Amino acid sequence: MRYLLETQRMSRNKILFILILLAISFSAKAQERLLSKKIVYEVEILSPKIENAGAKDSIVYNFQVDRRFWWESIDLVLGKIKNDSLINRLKKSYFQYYNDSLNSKQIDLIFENEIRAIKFMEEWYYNQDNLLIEKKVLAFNPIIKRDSIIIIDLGNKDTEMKTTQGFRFELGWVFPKKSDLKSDTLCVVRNIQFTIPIYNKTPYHWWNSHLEPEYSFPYFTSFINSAQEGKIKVYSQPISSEPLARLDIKKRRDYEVSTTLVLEDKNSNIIEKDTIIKTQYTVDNITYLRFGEEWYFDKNTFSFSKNVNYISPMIEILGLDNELRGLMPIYYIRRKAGL
Amino acid sequence: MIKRVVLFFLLCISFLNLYSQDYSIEHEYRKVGVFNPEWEMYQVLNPRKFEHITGYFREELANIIIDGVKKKNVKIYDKRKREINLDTLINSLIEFEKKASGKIVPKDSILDYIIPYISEYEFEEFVNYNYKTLKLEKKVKAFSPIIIRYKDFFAKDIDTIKFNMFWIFPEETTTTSSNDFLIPDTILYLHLLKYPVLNPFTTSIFEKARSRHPSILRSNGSKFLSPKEIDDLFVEKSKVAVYNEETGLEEFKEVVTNIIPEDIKHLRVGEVWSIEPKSLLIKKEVKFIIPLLETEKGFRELGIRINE
Repeated sequence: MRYLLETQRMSRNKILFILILLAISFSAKAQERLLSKKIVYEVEILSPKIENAGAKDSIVYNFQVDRRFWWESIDLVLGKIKNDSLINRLKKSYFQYYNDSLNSKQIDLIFENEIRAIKFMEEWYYNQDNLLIEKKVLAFNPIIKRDSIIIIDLGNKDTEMKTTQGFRFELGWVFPKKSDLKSDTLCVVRNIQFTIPIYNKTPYHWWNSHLEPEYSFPYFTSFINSAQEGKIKVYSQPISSEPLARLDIKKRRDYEVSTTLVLEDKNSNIIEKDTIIKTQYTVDNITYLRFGEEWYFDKNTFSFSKNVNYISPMIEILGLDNELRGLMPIYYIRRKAGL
Repeated sequence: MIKRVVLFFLLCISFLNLYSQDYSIEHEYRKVGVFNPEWEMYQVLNPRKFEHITGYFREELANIIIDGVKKKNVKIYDKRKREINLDTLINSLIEFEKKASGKIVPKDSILDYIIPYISEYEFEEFVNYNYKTLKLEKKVKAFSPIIIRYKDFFAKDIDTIKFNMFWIFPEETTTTSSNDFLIPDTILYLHLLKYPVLNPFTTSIFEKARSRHPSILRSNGSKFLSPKEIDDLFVEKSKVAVYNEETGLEEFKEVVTNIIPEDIKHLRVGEVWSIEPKSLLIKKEVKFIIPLLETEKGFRELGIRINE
């Protein structure tokens, strides 16, 4: 009898525990909001930099990820996808670009050293409370890229050297095996920072670096309002030790713009006046997103998973002449407390 | 019921602990120079290039590594961790030397010939950043000796040719061998702090300094005499020209700005190395760290040193 009571109590406890777990997971799910059902964008794995060595200028590439674990991951992927059809596609594309053919040694070297970017196809959600974006990687596409140096004439005999993209070859989309079980993962990078455009100006491909305003506008409105109301902590940099004060948050939205006002005087003459107007950035001005992310690669399922470390919406900074000066992060939200 | 409350309480504590970890282990790459020609020739410590090991120990370290490779005590790899054989290494060294100096060195002597030119090591290592104790603990996963050939020591811009010889991934050993070769020189190098360790680590440095923790010393290793001396380290005084409307003259005014944890992005680290001759495992022990501020003129010490 005692044994029966104990068993009943234990099973009651178990049910209670399961119910608590279900309630927690349900409330977490309820806080999740869709931001994009499908978004495709590109991230540089190796970034080009011009290095002056004596009389010669050359391009050097710096790893944006942990090279050892990247090599291990990409070698596993190549082991699966490198076949005659892929090699023939590469040869054809190379010939079209350079009017030159590749031998097998050159092909191996290209696969080994020149996969310098990756495209991701993802599903995005955000947490309604902390507004952090959660990404689910649906597929990825490694990209072979070559850059070259161009000289830009700045006028007054001034020139500037820049890198520009040359040969490019997309290996193709890899759709990983569907499994939630991550058994053998590699930390490809602890933090990779990149900025991507979020509104495609020709949105026939609604997923190509594009967020649909039906989803993005409520998100960014919530982002700005929550920051201003002090509901979320925002920082001027991802490494800031102190969050921004409310006054500073408001100030960061202010900007001045020069405009021509058309006025009418007493005698009904039309007068044009150049005037500086003080205004504030709104969600309409947010056109880019900056991310800091941690990436993992699962060796068994060939899948990437990501943790967003920090995010900042970016606005285009325009000069008084309305010319683009650059991009500015409005403020950052970040993952771990105390960072 | 009480049991359940206790269980729930314990769960909460473990959950909170998970999110307030006192340490972080990072996988990092760094190159450390062991031959600094400026130091050898002029006894000048250039703050941008102060990495050095004295001649005897530098050569002994290289000797031990080359000896282990020659005796095939360890496997050697390329950067992608593909095993390479001794002949391939010898041939590429001969080729490199031919390009660097025009000399054709015979096969049987090339490995001994290049020993004095091993001037840098590239490491792949795990670094444990302890935010509570400010300890940096390192575990070398792999290393690569680098040959540097200076074209001209006296040239204004020292032009060099570098060659990563091979990579060694030493087998882990748990015991400390009495045969370990210890390099008594303190090796100094510049350590870059990055996200996600930068902020928790530097915030902890500031907190420890302000609470007068005994591990915090002056940059030269001596003790601080007064609390004000420490407080003064966290402000930067500079002079700015201000136009005085009344006098119509330009006046200089002192401006005081606070130095905050995120201003510290570099550390100068002093460490000692030892090598296990059989496995060629290099062990590193961090002795002290000096937080550095980056200024227009280069790096400036914040003024404190943390002994490990």
